[in-house]
Amino acid sequence: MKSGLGFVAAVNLIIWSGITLYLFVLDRRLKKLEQRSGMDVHYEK
Amino acid sequence: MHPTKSGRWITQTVSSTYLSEAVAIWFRDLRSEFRTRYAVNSILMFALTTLVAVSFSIGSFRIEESERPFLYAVLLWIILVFSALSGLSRSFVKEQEAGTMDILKLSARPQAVFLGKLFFNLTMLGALGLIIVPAFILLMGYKIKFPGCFAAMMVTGGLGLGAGTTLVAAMIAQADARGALFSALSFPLLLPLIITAIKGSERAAYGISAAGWPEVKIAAAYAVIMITVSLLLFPLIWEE
Amino acid sequence: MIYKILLTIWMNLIIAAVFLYVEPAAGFPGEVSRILFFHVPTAWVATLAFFLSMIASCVYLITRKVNADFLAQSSAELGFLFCFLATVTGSIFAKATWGSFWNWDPRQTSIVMLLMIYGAYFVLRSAVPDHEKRRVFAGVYSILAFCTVPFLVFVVPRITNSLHPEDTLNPASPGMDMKTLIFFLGSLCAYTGLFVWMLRLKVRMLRLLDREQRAFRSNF
Repeated sequence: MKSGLGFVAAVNLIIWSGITLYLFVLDRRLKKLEQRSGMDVHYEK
Repeated sequence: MHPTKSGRWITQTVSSTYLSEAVAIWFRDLRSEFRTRYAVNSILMFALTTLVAVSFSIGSFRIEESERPFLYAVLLWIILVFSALSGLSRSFVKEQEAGTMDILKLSARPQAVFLGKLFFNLTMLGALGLIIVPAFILLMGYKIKFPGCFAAMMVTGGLGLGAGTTLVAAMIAQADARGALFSALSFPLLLPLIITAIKGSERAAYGISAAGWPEVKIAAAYAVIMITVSLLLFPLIWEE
Repeated sequence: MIYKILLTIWMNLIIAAVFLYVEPAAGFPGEVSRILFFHVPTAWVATLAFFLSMIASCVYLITRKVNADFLAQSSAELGFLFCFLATVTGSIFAKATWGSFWNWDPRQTSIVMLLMIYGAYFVLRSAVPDHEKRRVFAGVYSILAFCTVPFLVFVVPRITNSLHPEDTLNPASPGMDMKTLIFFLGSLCAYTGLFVWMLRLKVRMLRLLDREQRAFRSNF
């Protein structure tokens, strides 16, 4: 295995964690907004 | 939503067919175009200006003999396509601007309106081609080995141009920012046709064995498919 | 909730594995072939998203259910995003193997064509003020655009030959070893899962927005 691959993998993992974090935050916010406007009945609990 | 329901359109009589309505709209547009000459003037002036600019800056000897069939085909089709895009949207936009859109909706069946506007656009394109293509050939010294095939490529390419843009013109007439929108929406739809037409013209001019006939067939198929799909979809955007 | 956490862990495993566990494919310089695990899934998701958008547009035009249009719009936007990512990753691969970022390979031509079509689709959406009309126009345009794609598939290969790797990196061919294949399919699944997650978020967002706008309008 070449050196440097570990670094690239780490960068990829950090980017991916950022994306997931963003999606989870978005999910929570949307759920709150849906609850506020009473739209959450159609979605998963 | 139900264009076949009878008695819905005022002027629709027993004797009026899709074709007769379409021809009526076509002639009406030609008459009003003959009075104002707005679309034809803007298209032709655009084309002539570009042609002069191209001819002046390149001339008839600047490009190597072997490169000519291809590069001249590219230049010719760029001139034709962009001058067509500069004026073809007029067919529907002028109805919107004159406030005659609703009357047109009442007085003819949607498919007939589409066909009439398509015929009108094709007439414009025919006039454009008849003037620009010979002028281009003369000014640039474009040598064409198979004139018949080249002419067929021009005709089918023009058909495709009209077929691909008429429905878009009907849409953008009902939207904001009409001028810029028409080119932006039409160009992606026309790209396969433009690539085909350039290739076909190049082959007809270059004169290799199969010449450009396969490209002529592809362009014709493009025109047929776009007209069919547009006829099916047009009532949806017209009845809104 | 649980499948989202599973997806996160799954994607982490894939990323770590394709860099640290899988060996690079033969016939490519250096570590270039590892981009397979990122480029092909994005291209696949883009195709899936555009296709879904087209189907949803048809459904909207037939049933006039607003939800179908939300799906069509969200799917088109995500497809555009993934298509862009596929273009960028493909371009990086092109630089590493063919020597230039851009050379109008048939694959590059068709992907640019797709980007242009959907770019125009968003322009059209933003230019029609009336909601109902906007939805119909967008649906009509996406069907019309979809009809031109087969021509591109036939026409473009007549003009130039493709350098795009087909056989060595095709899962069905023997060129791909077992380890690569497993993680390739795993990556495809992860990206598809990610797409579904993002799609649902986007649809929910549009639904909320629509509701807010309607409530706002009804105040007058």
